[in-house]
Amino acid sequence: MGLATLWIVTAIAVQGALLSRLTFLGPHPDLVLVVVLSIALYDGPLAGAVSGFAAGLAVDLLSDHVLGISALVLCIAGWATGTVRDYYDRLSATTPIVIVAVASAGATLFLGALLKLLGDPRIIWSGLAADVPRVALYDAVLAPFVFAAVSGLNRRVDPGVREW
Amino acid sequence: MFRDSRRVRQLLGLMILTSITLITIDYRAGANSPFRGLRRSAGTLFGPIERGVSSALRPVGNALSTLSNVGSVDKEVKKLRAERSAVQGQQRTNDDKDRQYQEAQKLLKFVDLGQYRTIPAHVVAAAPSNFSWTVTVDAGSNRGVRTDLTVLNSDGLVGKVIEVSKFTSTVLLAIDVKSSVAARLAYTGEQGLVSGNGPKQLTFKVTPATAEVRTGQPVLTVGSTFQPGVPIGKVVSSRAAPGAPFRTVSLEPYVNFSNLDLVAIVVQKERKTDPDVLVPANPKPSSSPQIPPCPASVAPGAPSTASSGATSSGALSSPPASPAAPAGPAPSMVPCLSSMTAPTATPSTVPSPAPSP
Repeated sequence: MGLATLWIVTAIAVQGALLSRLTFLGPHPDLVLVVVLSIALYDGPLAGAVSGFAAGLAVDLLSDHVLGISALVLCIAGWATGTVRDYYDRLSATTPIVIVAVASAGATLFLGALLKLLGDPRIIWSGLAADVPRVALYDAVLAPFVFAAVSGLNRRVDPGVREW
Repeated sequence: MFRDSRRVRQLLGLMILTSITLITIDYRAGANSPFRGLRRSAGTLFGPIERGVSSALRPVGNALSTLSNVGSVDKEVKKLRAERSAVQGQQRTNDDKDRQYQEAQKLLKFVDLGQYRTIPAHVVAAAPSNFSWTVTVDAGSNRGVRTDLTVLNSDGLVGKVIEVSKFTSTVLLAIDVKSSVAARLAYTGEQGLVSGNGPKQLTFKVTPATAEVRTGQPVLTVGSTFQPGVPIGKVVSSRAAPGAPFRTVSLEPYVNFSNLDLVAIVVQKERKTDPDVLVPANPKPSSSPQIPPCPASVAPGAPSTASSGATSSGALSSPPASPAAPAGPAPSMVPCLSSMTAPTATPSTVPSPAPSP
């Protein structure tokens, strides 16, 4: 639990201070999402859902859009990823990348669609369709590093069973 | 492998329900949302963290931003090579300090010329969401920032403050789709509204549709919510749909929104100045002096060109990383706003510098 909090706070700080400012990428990589998905991949659906909800709430509070949207999306994304993870006995090196890419695409599309439905003038369907694959790609690039870091540190701190 | 899935599902349901409740309440309440205080506390909590991370990662961000600008890479390489031959070691640190210092100096001149009283701030973070164009700056209510204040940098309009917490505030950038700025054409004065399109060019709807618009003509704010006279962008193209009461003009913003760093939050305008003082003068053949070339590089430690007539710029001070601006007469008060080229013409002319108080 403490480790998850640490990861989320770090992710939000790095996201805001560095990644979100790299506008030349077009849409920016979503480090907070990748961290939530990595926690879900390491710890399963419950950890995924809870950390997704908490991280989403923090992101919502720091953004100017309606409160609760990211919390909803990240919570579901974390839970779904954790659930999928439980079908595997062992994760190969590439599995996290594929799962993160798919989950990122789904979560970004879901988030954009929710914002659009709530009348956010910044979302245009065509723009969203162009952004989704790019966010998925960026997140997939981050995935192996973030997952290795999350699972590595968690294993070191708690070498026994998984946290939840 | 499947653990206690009933408990998981119960918790998941609870969290989804909570989210939907939050969304409903926040959406319905709009501007009077009961969560405003909560947002402010989150800003207060995360502000210092983002500030620390931002200052640690600034060189990384700058390097990455430089890579993105193909045109400026060449310039940057040349500059770095020159520096390497001149100064051994410490290039990177010096480069960054030099850049910050020059940026501060340019901003000082700019706000001095416009006679604005300002609060200086650094951009420490951008919105964590992929769908909004806001940034966090490291000045909040502790330094007198309020909502709706105009934010500018040495190139022109950045945006306005929409949320203030203790140590940080949130700025809605002029390129955000939600941003709408009352503006006018320089020299001729036709008015209209400038709205953002995300990363694309700004749109300026000017009335009447018959207004004469020239490529390169600057567009400035008019005083309503925003401080008057802040340059927004220059005209790229314009068209009028037949029968439309306005002309739609594409503007290229003066500000490079991809690497915002030092900004100034305008508290008030000190006194009235020539409304067009911050843009190049109307290009008519005249005998005014030409803009001298900008000094290529001011070495840190030799800050003799600092604008010391800056007493009128109130609270604006140099950032901590830069050398302190010295007192004494400034050898050059000529504005060096290289990013603002005069429309079409040569020779471009200089607006007369604001009188020193």
